[in-house]
Amino acid sequence: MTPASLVRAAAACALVGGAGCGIELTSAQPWVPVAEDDAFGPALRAESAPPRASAVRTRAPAGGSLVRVVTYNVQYSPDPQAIADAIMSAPALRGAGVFLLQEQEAYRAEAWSRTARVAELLGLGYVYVPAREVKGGGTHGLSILSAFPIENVERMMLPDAGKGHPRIAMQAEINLGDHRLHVINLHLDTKLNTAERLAHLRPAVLEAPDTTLVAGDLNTCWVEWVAGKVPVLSSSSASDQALVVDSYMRALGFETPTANSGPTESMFGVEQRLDSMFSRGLAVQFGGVERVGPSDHWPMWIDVTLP
Amino acid sequence: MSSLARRRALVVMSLVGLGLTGPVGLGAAGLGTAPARADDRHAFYVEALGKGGLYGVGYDVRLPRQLALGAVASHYVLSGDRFTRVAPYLAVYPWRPWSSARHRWFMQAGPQWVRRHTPSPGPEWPGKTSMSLDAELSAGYEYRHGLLVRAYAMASWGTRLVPWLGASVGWSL
Repeated sequence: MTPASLVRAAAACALVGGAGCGIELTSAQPWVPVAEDDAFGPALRAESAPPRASAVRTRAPAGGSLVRVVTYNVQYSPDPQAIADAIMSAPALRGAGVFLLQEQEAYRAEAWSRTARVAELLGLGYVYVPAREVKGGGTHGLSILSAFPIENVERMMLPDAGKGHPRIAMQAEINLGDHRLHVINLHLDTKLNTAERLAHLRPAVLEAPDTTLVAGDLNTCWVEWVAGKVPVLSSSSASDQALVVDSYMRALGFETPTANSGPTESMFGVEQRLDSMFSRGLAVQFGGVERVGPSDHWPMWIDVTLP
Repeated sequence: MSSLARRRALVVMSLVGLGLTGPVGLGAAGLGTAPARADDRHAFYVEALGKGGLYGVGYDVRLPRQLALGAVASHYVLSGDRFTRVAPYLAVYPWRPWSSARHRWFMQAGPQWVRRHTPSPGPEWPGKTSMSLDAELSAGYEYRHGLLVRAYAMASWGTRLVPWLGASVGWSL
């Protein structure tokens, strides 16, 4: 986009009424099992491995139905060892049974996918689901690490606002033996205003099962975006996108256990709550945000008791 | 009134107090003792960024003692989100950088009321309207002689402290 066209777009969108600048997102694709997702092409094929038996033993749900779940944007995870060290450095994270990770990458030139390496270091099973290809012969996507079998993994291409990269959601069932935990892992686009963000999120959560945990990097920033390019900074709580997303999820019957988590990300000294977790049909207890690790995000965790 | 709101109100009142006492405290030296022109008391302008967020339209009027009173308002739609802002302010002109009365430094302080409405993407949710009251302090340069030009830095304090910039162009009568 040229500077002139940017100015024209900004002016057109900003004027009173904003005609033609509403929510213009392409349609979402349906959930597609990753084992059958040829539509995404071989370059975006998912990969997975089961957990070690020892991981299941040491992280088995206490009392038969309690499991700790972590969401963590690892910011490309260029050093998987650093991610694993961060997790192991925090006692609250060390014993978690399920990790929903965002911004994982894998490169053909590297012996292991980065998800596989982190999972190996933690002794966990994993599923890595790419969203897009990146320069250098790599892919970028979401992953789930688990001490328990990960089953029925599906991917959805989220509606595209044309203001960033293709984004996906992934859902899976964590097999806890007598219980199954349905999880949806998300990474939403950055340069969206709230109305667009909800339209972006909606297809992934609108028809979720009654018992579901939704978590991820929702990029609920305090910035008002002009044409998806120019950030207007705001100190106002009225500009906080996280509060609106919480309201939307409550309307769908989800609880918002991380609504008062405080910041989950820090960049240029500005801290924001970009990550969230939502539960429906589950008893959950908010745990905390652990300020560890090399990413600009911090891992956040909750304890989930299945019905 | 919450503790945060009390602190915010205290800061705004302190800034206003600074505005009221500033010119007296500084004495006559370096003060612009008269407007650029006798009929330059009223300013009408549009802002880019600044107190209105993305943009704003404003008016202010000079008062005695190097003070001015004004307000900026804006309404805009970004990707479906509707933002409305109103920011009244008290301005003080504590000194002139040069001998010409056309050039001045100014400080402005006041509250900022923000309203945002987010429409619903579907029937499952009614949409949400959020409002907040923040405080703002700005300082910058003004040229006033028929043509009005301002450029300034500002800090906005709501749930957090945010630095920001603004520029205005208009005319004075």
